[in-house]
Amino acid sequence: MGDPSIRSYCGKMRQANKEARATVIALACIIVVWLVGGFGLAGSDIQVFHTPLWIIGGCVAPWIAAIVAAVVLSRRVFVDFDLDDDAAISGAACEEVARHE
Amino acid sequence: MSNLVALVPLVIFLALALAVSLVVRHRAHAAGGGFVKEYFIGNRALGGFVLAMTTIATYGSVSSFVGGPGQAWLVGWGWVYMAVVQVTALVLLYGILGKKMALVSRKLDAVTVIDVIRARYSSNALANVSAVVVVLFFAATMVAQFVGGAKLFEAVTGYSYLVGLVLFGVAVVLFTTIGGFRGVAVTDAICGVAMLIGIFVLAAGILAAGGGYENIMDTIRTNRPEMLEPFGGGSMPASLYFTQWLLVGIFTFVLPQSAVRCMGFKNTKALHGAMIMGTVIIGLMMIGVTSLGVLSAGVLTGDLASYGGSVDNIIPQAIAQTLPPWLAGVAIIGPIAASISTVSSLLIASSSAIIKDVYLHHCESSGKKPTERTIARSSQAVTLCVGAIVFVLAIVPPDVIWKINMFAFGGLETAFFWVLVCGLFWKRAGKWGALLSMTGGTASYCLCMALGFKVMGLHQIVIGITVAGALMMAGSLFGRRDAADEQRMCEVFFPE
Repeated sequence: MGDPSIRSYCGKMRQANKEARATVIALACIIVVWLVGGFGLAGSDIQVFHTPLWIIGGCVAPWIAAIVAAVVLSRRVFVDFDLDDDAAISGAACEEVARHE
Repeated sequence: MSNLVALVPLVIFLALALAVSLVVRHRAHAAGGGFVKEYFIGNRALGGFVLAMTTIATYGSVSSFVGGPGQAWLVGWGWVYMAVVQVTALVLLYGILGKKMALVSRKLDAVTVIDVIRARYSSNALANVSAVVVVLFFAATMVAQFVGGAKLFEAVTGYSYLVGLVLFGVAVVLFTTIGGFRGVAVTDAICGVAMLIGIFVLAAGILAAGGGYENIMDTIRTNRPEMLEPFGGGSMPASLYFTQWLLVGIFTFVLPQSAVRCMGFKNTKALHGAMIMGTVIIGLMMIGVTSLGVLSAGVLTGDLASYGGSVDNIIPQAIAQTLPPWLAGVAIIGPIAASISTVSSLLIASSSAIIKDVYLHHCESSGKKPTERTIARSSQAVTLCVGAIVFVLAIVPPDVIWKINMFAFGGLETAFFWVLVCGLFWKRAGKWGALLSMTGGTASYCLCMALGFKVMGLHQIVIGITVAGALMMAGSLFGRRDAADEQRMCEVFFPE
């Protein structure tokens, strides 16, 4: 199942670290969208459906950004692997993964 | 409006939840397996949809449905702009904790977050402190949830507070006791759907009563133009935005009731699916319900005093004024589902802390071996007892829902943020750091909250997290550590 290089427990834990780091980067992107879409557009006089633009940029855009982040993370960054520990693959495989990287 | 029609949808809903928990229990019983693992973590069998819904329903509380939108009615779109930070909650939870908690808990055969903490720091003292913190804050939150739900029930249906409390309070305590974690997760999913339905029904009511969205926006512009500014004419300072990002955005992923969900899902596909679905739904729910608060300003145009002087009355008023009784009955299922889905998750987590983390651990260390039957009986008895205590406390209600809830929220975040994050990602983090961080951080947070002491006008969460972080650093770098414990811990948490 999934990437063959991620079969040992250690390889899976390393992948989990990588995914956590990517998530923090995604958070930073969402915050930027929130700042720009809301406060950034607060000075604009444009209205859509009788609604000032910053309300749409601040209240809807960050949500869309979070959905995009979730899709990109889970499709591109996160890897499927078996969560149960495969005892057959021991520490040796782990070093192999390290070399592989 | 003491109207029986308004009760029918709620009663049907509660009966459905009870029936579902009975079915879940029956199936689990037929499937066999160990009681503790089934009752407290549902045999790690949650699929993507249920995982997403149970996380959202646990997180979305009665204050998301009553207190929050009430404030939005007062402040305007700035409050929605602030509430939208909650859309990050599931990405952070599943992305940062998801797989690590899943892997580690399988390796350790852990059932609770406290199991993981005990193993990570080799400290029974820390585990006991965690259990006390969890049970204390969860109890306060549960009472607040009951109070919020029953007050809303009273305001909308015209039946007394006690009738409401008995109706859904008894139902939630029963179905949690019967169904365990898996029952809670499945009923949470039903509650989540009910919350969405409640939002849609109320949205239709408000939009119709206000003459359509654009008309409502024009009314707001005429009556209270400051509601259309991000700073709300001064009522939404930048410092509030900053601390709300911390309090209801970034730090929420360490709440133990959320983190435990990362130990209960079936496989990585479920996690990935839940992350996408959950982010769509949590946005719909939180942005939707908070916006309804703002839009109700197009219908409820009086000043705060004319609505009883409390923003908590706004949503009940909006429901009662814009909807016919039977639809009002459908709309109140939303906030009541929000209340009971939070209570059920906290109740099963409190019970697991008492049984698994304190009682069973005590048995283990003193060499006693309780039978499966004793464990099953006592687990359900404890769930029922804690539920009953909370129920009784809620009969004579304490005043401010919003504040109590927020007190517990920040307290739990302060207690668990560094302990969990450093525990999973910083090898040097040690038992003294964790102990100091949890006790010192939480104590300083609570003390500053109680005294109203702030630094630079920022919410006390900043003080709590800073103190907890500094203590974690200091304790970990200078505390003594045991080499054997260290090696055992590294094999599970930091394999090389």
